[in-house]
Amino acid sequence: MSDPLEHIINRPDTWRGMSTGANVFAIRTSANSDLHGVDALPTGFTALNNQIAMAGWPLRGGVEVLSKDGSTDSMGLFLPTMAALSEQHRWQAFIAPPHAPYAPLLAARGVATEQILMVHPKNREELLWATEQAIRSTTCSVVFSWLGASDYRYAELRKLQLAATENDTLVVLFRAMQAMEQHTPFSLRLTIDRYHTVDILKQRGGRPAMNIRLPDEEDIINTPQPWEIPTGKMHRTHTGQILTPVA
Amino acid sequence: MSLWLYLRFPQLPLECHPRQQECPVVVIERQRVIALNEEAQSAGLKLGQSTATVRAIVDTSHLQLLERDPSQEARALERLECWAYSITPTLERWQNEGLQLEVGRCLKLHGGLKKLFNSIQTDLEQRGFTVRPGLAPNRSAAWLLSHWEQSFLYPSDQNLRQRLDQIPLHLLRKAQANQFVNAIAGLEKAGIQTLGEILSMPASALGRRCGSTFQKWLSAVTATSDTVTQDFHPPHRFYDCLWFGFEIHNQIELYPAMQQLLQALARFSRTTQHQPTHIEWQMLRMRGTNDLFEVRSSEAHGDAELWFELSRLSLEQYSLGADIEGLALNVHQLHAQHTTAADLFGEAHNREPLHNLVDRLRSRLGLQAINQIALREAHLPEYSQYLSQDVAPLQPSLAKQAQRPFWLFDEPHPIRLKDNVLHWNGVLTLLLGPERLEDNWWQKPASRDYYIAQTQTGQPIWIFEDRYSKQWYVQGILP
Repeated sequence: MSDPLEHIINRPDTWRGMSTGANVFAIRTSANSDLHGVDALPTGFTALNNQIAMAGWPLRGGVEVLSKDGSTDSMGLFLPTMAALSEQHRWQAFIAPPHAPYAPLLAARGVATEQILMVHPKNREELLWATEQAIRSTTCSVVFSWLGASDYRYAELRKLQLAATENDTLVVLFRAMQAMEQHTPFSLRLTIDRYHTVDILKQRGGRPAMNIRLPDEEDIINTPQPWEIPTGKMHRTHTGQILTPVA
Repeated sequence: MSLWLYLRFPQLPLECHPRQQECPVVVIERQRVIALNEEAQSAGLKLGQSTATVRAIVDTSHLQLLERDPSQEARALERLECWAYSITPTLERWQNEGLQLEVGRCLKLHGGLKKLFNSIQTDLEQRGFTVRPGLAPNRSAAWLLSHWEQSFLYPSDQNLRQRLDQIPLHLLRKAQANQFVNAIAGLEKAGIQTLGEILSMPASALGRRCGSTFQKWLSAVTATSDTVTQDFHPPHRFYDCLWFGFEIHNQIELYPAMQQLLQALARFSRTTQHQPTHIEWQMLRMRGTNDLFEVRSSEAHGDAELWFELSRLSLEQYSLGADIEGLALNVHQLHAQHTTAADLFGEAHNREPLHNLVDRLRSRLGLQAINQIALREAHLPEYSQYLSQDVAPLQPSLAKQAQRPFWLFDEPHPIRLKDNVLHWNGVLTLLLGPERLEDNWWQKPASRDYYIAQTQTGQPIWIFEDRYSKQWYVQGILP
């Protein structure tokens, strides 16, 4: 590496804003490293993979998801990944989750529910500490952390991002919409303000992309269940009105 | 070759008590001084003085008079046994004042006598025990020599007989060979001064004069080998403590003591092939109560470094009181070690074990802060799963249900019904349903019709109508 500029460009923590997909490959780690150059996990959604420069969730550098309501709506985005990661037999850590995930659904989607480790920190310091511990330890295949609406200093987030670059754990941090005003050290920043519609606000080595539509859940919308059709007790209309039959 | 090392602890009645700060201490048994520390000696006290004399010589407000406590001594000896078990498995308690260790068969392991002696000396010094050693091919001679030879010197150029020859007869009495008091008195009257002179007497004459038991004892002392008794079986618990000799003011001052005790535990756990799943620290005080705190690990291990890290995390949550002068490590139960074959080539080769993260998080956040989803047999969703603190591999024997929420609310959220339209963050549209769930009939019967509805942003949610109260609720959010 004779050219110092090229050296800097090839560093994985060098931010290149509007570059095209070609030099994305420069980010990859050397072939004889522990990870054999695996830097991204397919998201499970073709539309999304096409828009992310790394063609999947970046394994080094972290994913930041911004949403309005404590990020309860966006988990469908990660279900295919969780199912794929179940093969690794490592923890899938949920740090400060808003609710408990429902095991029968996870099982139906191929997620190994016994790998889910729920961590409930009592305050902001514990939340940051537990998140960093989970990222740094090599025992998690994915760390989901609900950082919530509190303010975080750039240095605090940068610490998490550095930890995330150290090993092959997928790091997903959920934050409130207000965080949009602040800089982010993470590789990918997304927002979801409508169901199954993703906006990529920032990504390392790629362009922002808006209105990425993910397919609807097929088994909800399109699968009729004849044994569940209302039997006269109640009727429903498309507007949600409930018609109680006359006795 | 059998070689016995006898470690005699002459100050055991004194040293089994916590170390005191610079004040004369004497231990009393039947109104007589049987042990005293250096401060007491320089104050003019001597062994064998009566309690009254002691009180007359030293001002009692500066003096600590301790009654001899055989149970404390036994406990100290048990601790020493556990420590000595890392040297040799063939050991036994001897006359409640010392330990006999068979070291002949493990000299190579310890790199020779000199190295072994050095490590024994430093270990015992750290533990604050005065020791008088004796080394001989049999236990009786080792015991006898521990009263005569003062240091850890190994007299390689002398054979046993030469060393025994020099022992004066009066020492036999001091060494409490009680049953031979008369025989020894008789021999002394006859002008015999050393053990050597007795040993060179013709056996028949000696037998007539002193009795056959004395003769038997003499042949035991001069024997070149000694039958090996049963091996020592260490207890499945561990206790060790350290006294600092000064007061501890902050947590960092505790770290060296913690590391030292954990090293002792790791050594014990390695030699016994038994490992702890939780350990207990005791903050020792001279007066008042001892504080406890526990450190847990979800898997048994004897890794001193890891226990130290976990203990340090727990200690951060713990407010250190005043006057802590000692630290004890107590392990109530040790489990047989499971050896797992490590995968040399698999992907997971340089990853730490899964339970390490759980232990580390729990040490700081508390036991309740970490849990997993566990299931129970119930139809109502909110009762069908719970958060379990046992972080163990659960059996994934699940009813898989696709049309279910990702997030399940602990408590269903009520929905407002206005003009036959459901409102929850805006108007809801029903997509699918109903699906009837009924349960709990023995307690508070529940009958619910579940629907999948859509919020205004298009997010599907799981709602139900309670058929008894006609009230609508949100139960969860679909992925």
